[in-house]
This record gives sequence, structure tokens and C-alpha cells, in this order.
Amino acid sequence: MLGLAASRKFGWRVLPRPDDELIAGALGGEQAAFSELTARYRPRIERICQRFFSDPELARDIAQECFIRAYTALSTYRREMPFAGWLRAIVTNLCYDELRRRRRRPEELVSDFSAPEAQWMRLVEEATPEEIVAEAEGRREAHDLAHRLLDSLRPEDRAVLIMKDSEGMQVSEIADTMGWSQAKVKIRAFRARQALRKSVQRMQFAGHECKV
Amino acid sequence: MNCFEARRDFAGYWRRELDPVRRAELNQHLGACAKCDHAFRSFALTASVLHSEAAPHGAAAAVASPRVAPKNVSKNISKIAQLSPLTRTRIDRPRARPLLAMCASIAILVAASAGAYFATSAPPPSLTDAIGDEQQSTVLDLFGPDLPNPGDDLAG
Repeated sequence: MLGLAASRKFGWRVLPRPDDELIAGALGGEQAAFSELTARYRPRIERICQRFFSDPELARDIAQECFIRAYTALSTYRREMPFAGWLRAIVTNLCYDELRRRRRRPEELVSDFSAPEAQWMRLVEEATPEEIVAEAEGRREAHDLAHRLLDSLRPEDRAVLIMKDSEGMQVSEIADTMGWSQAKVKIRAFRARQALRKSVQRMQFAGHECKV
Repeated sequence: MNCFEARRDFAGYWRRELDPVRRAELNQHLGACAKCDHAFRSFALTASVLHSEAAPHGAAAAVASPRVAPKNVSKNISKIAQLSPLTRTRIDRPRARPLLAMCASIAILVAASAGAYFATSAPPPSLTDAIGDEQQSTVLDLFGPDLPNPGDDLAG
């Protein structure tokens, strides 16, 4: 507290408190410590949720649920693993449960592209790779179309793709997080890619029909 | 650059993390290899979700929209912290309620089927119906001589 006051008065830069110290503080009843942990990891956790769900409000709710679960289970956290990894495991399981609760409707995949979505698909087919990357930035329709493709996958396939490709998790980490064997993770990753490839083909075919 | 290296660099290319030399090499490879070019176009269709660092502007705007009441995590957490230990235990075990409901429904089902069974089945035969007239005396002898005969007037 004294250090904080001094740093404010003299403009010193305060080093961020390490996770372990904040966790110990939170376990000791210091609520500000857990708030600091929340602020530190919230963007990362919300980003993971946004990969699972296109609805930003739902993504926010699940991120919040993740921090509440983390708080209530903080005493079970083991220091051998990084806190970020522990939070990631909680949020991934929450997102996976939510995906399983929702019914997937693959028939929606190939039906009715909006005009901006059809335009984006045409651009992906015809423009150069550099142009595609430049154009994709901040395009809502690119985001929506990607979610529509991912919605066609089974929940476990989608979860594996996100953990492996987006989060760069190792097979053993995914196996630990999901409670699966490593062989199952590898098989699911392979099948997820196959399924995604098929969905892309179906979508491209539907896109061609839209143009005609 | 071979096809394996090219595909491994797709994510870095999308996030603009490759150095200019590597980026140029990948552009060159994509221009020359039709399979990798096709793979990149398929990759691009999902990369906005799987490989982007942030949500698009639309999503970010929706998150920041004032119509959505911001939920304060630390406020909720402080509420949890103020709960009694017993209540917190209940929060930790949310599956107890479905289990209780399942047991209750099984009990209701068993009670209902037992009721239906006894309501529809015939009443059990009486002792006198079950055995013939000839055996009645034997049975009554067994119970003892003090018992009145079935035809006797008990009032005297």
C-alpha cells in the first residue's frame, strides 16, 4: 500500500504483482487481488470464447462464468501449472459444454448467403493472398461466415480445432483439458480437418450456385 | 520453400507476423503451387475466427454497446465471497439437484405402478374359498377347538 502511494506520488513504475502472489492474496480474502487477476486475463479468456461463439454477449457471459468458477475453485489450483493454462482449461470446458447443449444445424450452412458474405467468398476465390489478408481485417461478414463454417462441425471437433490451431496447445495438453486419451485427440483433430474441408467445399459449391 | 513449410506459415502470414523475406517467399510459393493456393483460400474462410487476434469491429462494438448492461465479475465474486460456507458448497455441486429429481421421479413411478397393479388385479381368495368344505374341519382343528364354526350364530 505504501509502495503504491509512493509510486503515485513520485511517478515510479510499479512492477505487476506475479500471479502466485495474487492467488495467495485472493485465497487470503483479498478481493482486489482476484480483481487484478481477472483484469489481467479477461481479454485472453474472452478471445477464446469468441472463437467458440459468434454472439459477443454469450462470449462475455461464459468468460464471466469462467472467472466465477475459478474463484470458487481457487483453493484446488495447483501451482505446477501456469494460472493462464488453468483458466484456459476451465473456459474451454465451459465453451464445450455450451456447444453440446446447443443443437447444431448444418443445413443452415449452405442456405442463404447475405450479399456481403457472397461478396467476401468471391473475393477469397479471386483475389491474391495479400489482398485477402488486407481485406479480411475488421470485416464482419468474414467473421460470420467463418463461424457458420465452424458451426457445421461437431462440438468436440470444433473444440479440438480451436485448442490446437488457435491456441497452439499440445496434444497432451488438450488430452488433459478434455479428459481424453492422446490418441482420441489426434483422431478428432484429423476428423475435424476432414469435416471442415467438406464444409468448405459445400459452401463454395453453394456460393457458386448463388452467383449463377 | 516446400508445401509443408508454406502451410505451416499460413497463420503467421494471416497475422502479419512473418518477416518480409519469408512473406515474399510464401507469396512466391502460393503463386506457383495450385494446391497450396487452394489450401490458403480454404484457410482464409475460417481464419477470421481461428487465427485473428481480436474480434472484428462489429463484434467489438456489440460488446461495448450501452444496451448490454456490463456485468461486473468482481461484483459477482464479492457476492459469492459473502455467502456462507454451506451455500458455497452448494454452488460447487450443482449436480445434486438433478440427481434428487431423478430419485423423486423413480419413486413416483414405482408408487404409481404399484397402485395401478393393486387396483386392477382381483382380490386374493379367502381361506374358505381356497380349500374345500371337506378340509375346513381339519384347518379349524388346527386353529383349536375354541374357534366357532362358520355357520354358528355368534350372537347366540
